[in-house]
This record gives sequence, C-alpha cells and structure tokens, in this order.
Amino acid sequence: MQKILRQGELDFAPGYKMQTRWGALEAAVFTLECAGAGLFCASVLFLESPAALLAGAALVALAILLLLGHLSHPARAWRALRNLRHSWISRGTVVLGAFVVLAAACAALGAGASGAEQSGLGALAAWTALAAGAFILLYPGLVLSASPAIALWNTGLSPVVSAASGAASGAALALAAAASAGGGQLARFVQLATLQAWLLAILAILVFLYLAVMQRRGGTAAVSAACLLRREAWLFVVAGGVLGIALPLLLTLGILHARLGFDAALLAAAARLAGDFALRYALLRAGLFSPPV
Amino acid sequence: MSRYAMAIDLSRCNGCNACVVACKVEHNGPPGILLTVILEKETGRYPNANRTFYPVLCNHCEQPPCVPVCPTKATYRREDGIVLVDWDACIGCGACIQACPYEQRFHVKKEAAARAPGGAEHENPGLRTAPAGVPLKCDFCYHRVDAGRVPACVEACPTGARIFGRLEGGERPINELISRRHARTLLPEMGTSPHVYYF
Repeated sequence: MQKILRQGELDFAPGYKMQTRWGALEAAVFTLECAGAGLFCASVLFLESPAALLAGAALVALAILLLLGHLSHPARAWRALRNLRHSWISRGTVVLGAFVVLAAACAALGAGASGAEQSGLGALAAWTALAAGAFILLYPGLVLSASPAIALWNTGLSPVVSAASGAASGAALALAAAASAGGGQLARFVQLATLQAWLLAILAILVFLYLAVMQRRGGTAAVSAACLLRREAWLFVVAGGVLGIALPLLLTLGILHARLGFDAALLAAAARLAGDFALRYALLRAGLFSPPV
Repeated sequence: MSRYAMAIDLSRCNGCNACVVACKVEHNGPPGILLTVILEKETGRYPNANRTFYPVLCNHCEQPPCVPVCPTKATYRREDGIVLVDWDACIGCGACIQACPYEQRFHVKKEAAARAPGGAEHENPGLRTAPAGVPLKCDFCYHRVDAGRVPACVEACPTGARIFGRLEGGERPINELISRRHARTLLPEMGTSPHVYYF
C-alpha cells in the first residue's frame, strides 16, 4: 500500500492524506444520535414504554452535549443555525434540538404504538418526532457525503449506510428494553427481534455494496476501501462486522428460534452499539484526500 | 466584478521557497502551518527523470466547497472572488477543512496560537494573528490587494513565476495568459473551478 500522510502533516511529496480532524469523538456523537433516534422510532412503533422513548431522547441529548465538546468555540454554537439553506450541519442542529423536545413530549404524553386512545396532540408529537428521528438516522451520512474532498464519504450510499446502522442499533436497544419488560410484551418482543434480524441483514448487504462501489470507483475511493480492509481491519472487519453485525444477528436468531432471553438481548445491544461505533470510526479514519498533483 | 486569480508558471518555479517564507511572515503564521507550500513531483526515470515544483495554496474557487458546508456562514466569498473566514463567527466544527479537496485549510491548535506577548520581532504588526480553534487559509493577502499591492508570495518570487491580477480588465488580465498558455487547474474533476492556474 502507498504511503499515507496525516492531515496537516508537512511533506513536500504529493500523496494521499488521511483526515484526522474528525475522529473518535465525532464517531461517538454519530453513534449516540443515531442509536437514540433509532430507539425512539422503534419504541414508538413497537413498544409501549415511555421509559424507552425518554431513553431515546436522552441519548440524542447526550450526543448534542458531546457535539458541543467537539466544537472549538461551543459558546457560539447558536450561530450554526445561520446557513439552513446550504449546510447539513445547520439543518441537523435544528432537527436534533427539535427531536429532543418532541421525544420528551411524547414520553410525557405516553404516545406509542397503542395509539388508539392517545390524544391528537400526542399523535402529532409522535409523528413529527418520528420524521425528525428518520432525518437524524440519515444525518451523519448527509454531513459526510457533502464533503467532495473525501471520495469515500462523497457518495449517496453514506446516508443509507448511516441510517441502516443507526436503525439496527436502535432496534437492538429497543429489543433489550422489551426483554427487560418481561413476558407482558412477548408479541412486541418477537416483532422487534424479527425487525432487528432484518435490519442487520440489510446493513450487512449495504456495507458490502458500499465497499464494492468504492472499489469499483477506483482512485482515492479504492485506496480508502483497501484501508478499511487492511489498515483498519480490526475496527472495520472485526469490531464493525463481526462484533457489530454477525454476533447480534446470531443472538437475535437465537432469541427467535432458540428462545434465548434477556441476557442475549442485552449482549446483542451492547455488541451492536460497540460495532456501530467501530464502523463509523473506521469510515472516518479511512477518509483520504486525493493528491493535489 | 472581475475575480482575482493567480497564474503560476511552472517552468519558472525553482522551488526556492521564498514565497513560503514571505507568506509565513506576512500572516504571522503559527508554527506547523504553511498557507502555501511547494510540492515536488518527480516524473520519468533516470536518465530522463524530471522534477517539477508545484506551488500550492488556496484556490479561491468559483464554486468553493468550503462555503456551503459552513453552518455559520463564517466562510464566505467576496465579490472579487477572494474566499475568506470570519474568525469571530467560526465555531470550529471543521466542516470546511474536510470539504477542501486541496487540503488548504488548517486548524489552528491552542498550542500553535499561543504566542509570546507582543509577538516575535519579525511578525507583521498590522495583521491580526489567527486565534485558536479556527481554520487558517491563504487569503490572497486581501489586505495588500485592497491597498493596491500584490500578495506577499508574488512580490517575493525571484523568478516571477507567480502572476496575480484580475481575470478580466485591470493592467494585466490573467485570462489572456491562461488561454494563451493553455493553463490548467488542480483536480478539475472536483468541479470547483479554481482561480489558481498552472502552465
């Protein structure tokens, strides 16, 4: 593999440069906000648990706090609302804030799948928060895909992979929440386990597709794809693929067919969250700038 | 209004780095950050090997990818085409740094921004030093250009490899030179329409 410099490193020979501006903190922010939005969406649709709704909102709120820590000047963060017309970060700032408020309102109003007896206001809050949650699932990918400089990110597949990964994490958390609720929600538990298995299978296919597209694109994208499979193999393949997709999928199939219980759901959720973080961190670390000459 | 542009004659650049030093001094450049560098590219094999020096800097693109991604509009393009950063509006999210295909935006770290009181002897007292946590980039020495002078790198170049002016109009329109010498830009596939040309 060719020599790869780090972003900002002074070297007078043109070559690929690995971006270093966004790293573990940003990957954690992306993971938490997507897992929180996914948990909320899965809870609204499949669970009757205000606690799960609140946990989704809390995860996104935690992501916002970490996001402020990532800024060099967090006191000026309000200024991020100034470019809604062009910037995905601006749009995301609005939606993240609105989501936390709406999700907390849903938890307070008890909005959920049962829905029949809930108030019009609760239903409105639930559907608006669901729309905001769907946007948040796509949001990290939209931010990355808006960067033309980094071929690995600059693709329409980035938001799709981000959404699939976040949805799988959210479903895993919702499954753990359903398992902790005991036998009262058995039907929901089976529905969620089935959803989780499908989401993980779709995520695996999307990740393979993403890699194949990057390799076929050639140039810097192909070098980034090679980085994912070699230099970042521990993060991308072992942590992201085996721990984050294969293990939760096996455990979920075990829950569905071998009646594994709460422990399996909890383990699947923990593995999924760790794998989600690893996948996103690996994608950030493999982001390369093309040689300018 | 006609845009400012720079044309660089690669056959004249001998890689002396005078432009790099002039830029560093003009901008009170923090340690570890150079707003223009000279890349060296070797082509061919002995005995027909060749080395070309490529001075690179912010391309002040017609379609700058750093501008739309900025959530605070801190990065903006003036009517004359110079792309600048309003450090007081910047939140330091790094989106512009990731968006620049030429990797010509540099994050000023705390330790790099820390200076001795009063600055060093060689520093330019007339120019504000970049604070920590903002992106720093070539600004085409807009403070000099506004005063009717050329950028420091152009003035310092001993071989006259760097030519600065407006694309159209003015004393030395750049576009004539660009078309006559079949000048090209860096990474044209990015669709940014840079305003730094090489011939």
